[in-house]
Amino acid sequence: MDRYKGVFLVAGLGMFFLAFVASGILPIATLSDIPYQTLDEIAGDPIPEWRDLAERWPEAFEEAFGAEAREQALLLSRNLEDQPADPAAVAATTRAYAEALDRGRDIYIAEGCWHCHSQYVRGVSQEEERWGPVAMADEFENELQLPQLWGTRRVGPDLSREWGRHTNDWHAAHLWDPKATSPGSVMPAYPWLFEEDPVWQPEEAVRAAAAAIADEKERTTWLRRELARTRLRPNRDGLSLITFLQWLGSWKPERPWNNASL
Amino acid sequence: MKRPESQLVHYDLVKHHFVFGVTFLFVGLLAGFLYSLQFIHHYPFEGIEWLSAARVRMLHTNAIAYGFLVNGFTGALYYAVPRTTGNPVLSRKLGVFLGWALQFTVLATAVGILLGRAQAVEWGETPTGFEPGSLQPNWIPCDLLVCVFAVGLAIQMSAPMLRARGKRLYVTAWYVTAGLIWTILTYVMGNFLPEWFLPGTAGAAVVGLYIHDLVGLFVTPMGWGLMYFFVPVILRKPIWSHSLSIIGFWALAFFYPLNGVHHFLLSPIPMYVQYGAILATMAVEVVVTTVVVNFFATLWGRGHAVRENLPIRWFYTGMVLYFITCLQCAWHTTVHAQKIIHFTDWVPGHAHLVMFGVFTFWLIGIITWLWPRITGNEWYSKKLLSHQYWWTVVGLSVMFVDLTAAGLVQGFMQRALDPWLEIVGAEVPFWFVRTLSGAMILLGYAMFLYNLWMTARVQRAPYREEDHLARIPAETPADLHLPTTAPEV
Ligand code: HEC
Repeated sequence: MDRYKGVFLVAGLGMFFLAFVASGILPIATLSDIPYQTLDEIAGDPIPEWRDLAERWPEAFEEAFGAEAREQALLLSRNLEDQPADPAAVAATTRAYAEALDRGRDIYIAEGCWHCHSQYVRGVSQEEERWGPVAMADEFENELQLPQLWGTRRVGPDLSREWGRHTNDWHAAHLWDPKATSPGSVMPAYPWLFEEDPVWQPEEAVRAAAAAIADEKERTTWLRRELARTRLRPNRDGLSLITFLQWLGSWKPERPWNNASL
Repeated sequence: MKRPESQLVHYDLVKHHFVFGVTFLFVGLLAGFLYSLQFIHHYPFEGIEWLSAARVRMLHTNAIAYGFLVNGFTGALYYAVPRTTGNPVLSRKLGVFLGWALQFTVLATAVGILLGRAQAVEWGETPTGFEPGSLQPNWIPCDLLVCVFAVGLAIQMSAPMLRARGKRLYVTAWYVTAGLIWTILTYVMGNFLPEWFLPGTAGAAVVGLYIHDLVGLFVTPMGWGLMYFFVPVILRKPIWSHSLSIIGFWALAFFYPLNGVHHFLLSPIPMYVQYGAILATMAVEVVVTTVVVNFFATLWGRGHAVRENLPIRWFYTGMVLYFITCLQCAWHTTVHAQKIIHFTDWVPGHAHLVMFGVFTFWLIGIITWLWPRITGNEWYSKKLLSHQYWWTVVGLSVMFVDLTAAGLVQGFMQRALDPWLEIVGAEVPFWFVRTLSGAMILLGYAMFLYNLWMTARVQRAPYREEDHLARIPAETPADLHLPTTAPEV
């Protein structure tokens, strides 16, 4: 037996590498003709929600990404086909946009969002109906997929077609207090992504407006949402995370998969 | 040549790893319990950044994987490897160093995760120490420390294996040697490739391979290797078939790693890779059957031990659950089952059955057997040990059935395109039962901790190996270096 020890050792290692070939090298080879996109290439084409963030929270945006990036973001047209001509201007906001995407993704990882949300649509169980087009390998060949964030569990909805499904405002209110936008949600709140907005409406006014709503459940939800919406502004992390969420799925030419109710 | 007992096994190393292991298991179970409260709208730390529910979830799995399983297995190896080979491990000093290095790594991992430095690889959230995908340092590089520990342990254990030259190596030695080498490779592959070199789909295939290999090429070989040692030792009779055990080993080595991609079925990974993984997964069930048959044949004629001997009861309960888990694997890996159960609570139910119901049960059994030998005291309360067993087993069974049912409800509601908040609402009752079952497990474990503590503290009766030897007559003197008297402490 002793004589064959070397053979056994090689056999054991061989089995490990066999599996690596079967589930590593082979898929790599099959997928090798898909071009790889760097972060800068992705960020060359900012989503309209980026401009909206600059508009919606001007102070926060400036604090986070600088005055120049904000000015440039505002120059971006709402219509993607009509980009501003000055390449230097685009570059300034593109750099900030890339930074926001990268940071947003870091937070998505650090907070473990990927343990409750998946990021790929399967071609079964009517998933196309609910989320949008089935996931293709070429969607994931880029720098923001190191490592990929597919996830293995859906406590919350799939997020790979999130672009434009909700407004920036909605995301802010939702991250501050998920039950405010989605009563009964089990998603944790993320108040550390926000600062109190110094110019928020007096609370009494909001409460007075809420009193007019007859249904109690509806009133509570409305009040929570309005308080969150008016009092808060996302900090740098919050803005980055919202940018990242809005970016998800924006690479698909089709406009948003607006079946948020599903 | 037989060495004096005191030079063979370093009981202080065994004890060190067990003490930290059971402590981290408590942390892990508590974290899991707290996380479950998030799902019934009663999470106590809502709004505290470093105790955010999802971070606590990662603490739950990592404390159990690296804090408990690694410590538990290492402690058990320090006992089993010298005994199967007849040689002590390389160096006691190295053992002390590795022990503290491991505890430091576990703590750094736990703190790192809570501070938001986790890595996005399941079962590999251990912080890399760098911003995701870049080389900008942000924390202690826990991944590298784990590698250092794994290499150190392999060196430590290779000494007794190599010195056993010329003798026929018992199957435990096969599993342990192979497992230690595979662990290093697996860990490096999963924690470095998808993070820096393999984006997207190919990276996902490797992450799947990593998740699976970590269970299949680290936890499983260690677990079975130790079973092949402790079951014959406690029953005082040799394993039923040595050949079958070797067949089981090689079949496991061949099929298990090929399963990897089944964690991402119906994904953009090329379909032929997925079908390969599905077939390999089904094949594993055949392998598992040979192993389980071997153990039950060994039990033949000693069945009363399951009733009288708690470690044996833990071991065989674990084996039954192992068989159930693998039977589940063999059919829920098919694409038809995947349509419904993937992404649902079915999967955590399955995972708890194997990680808790099998490997944690086995380690609890091993600790139950060794603790009196380490401390020199008989168990403080045998009754409490039995209570602990029942609370734990019933708790886990409830959790498994509950999560499985919850998974089916989720899966079918998702397919029916029910509104998401309705699905979440329908789950809450299941999640409530899950929390209750977690409380049962936690209660059972609290009994264990109290019992361990009191046994170490209070000597109701001194432990005497002779008493135990008399109880079950040895059929054949096993070729293992068993103690015939109590170890000196
Ligand atoms: C404990 C599980 C859990 C965690 C952790 C979690 N979520 Fe959620 N998430 C949910 C659930 C459940 C919903 C559905 C109800 C709702 O809208 O709140 C949801 C909904 C969402 C939605 C709305 C999706 C849509 O299209 O309607 C977004 C966006 C979202 N989560 C982002 C995040 C981000 C970002 C994180 C991490 C910072 C995160 N989630 C962490 C459970 C979770």
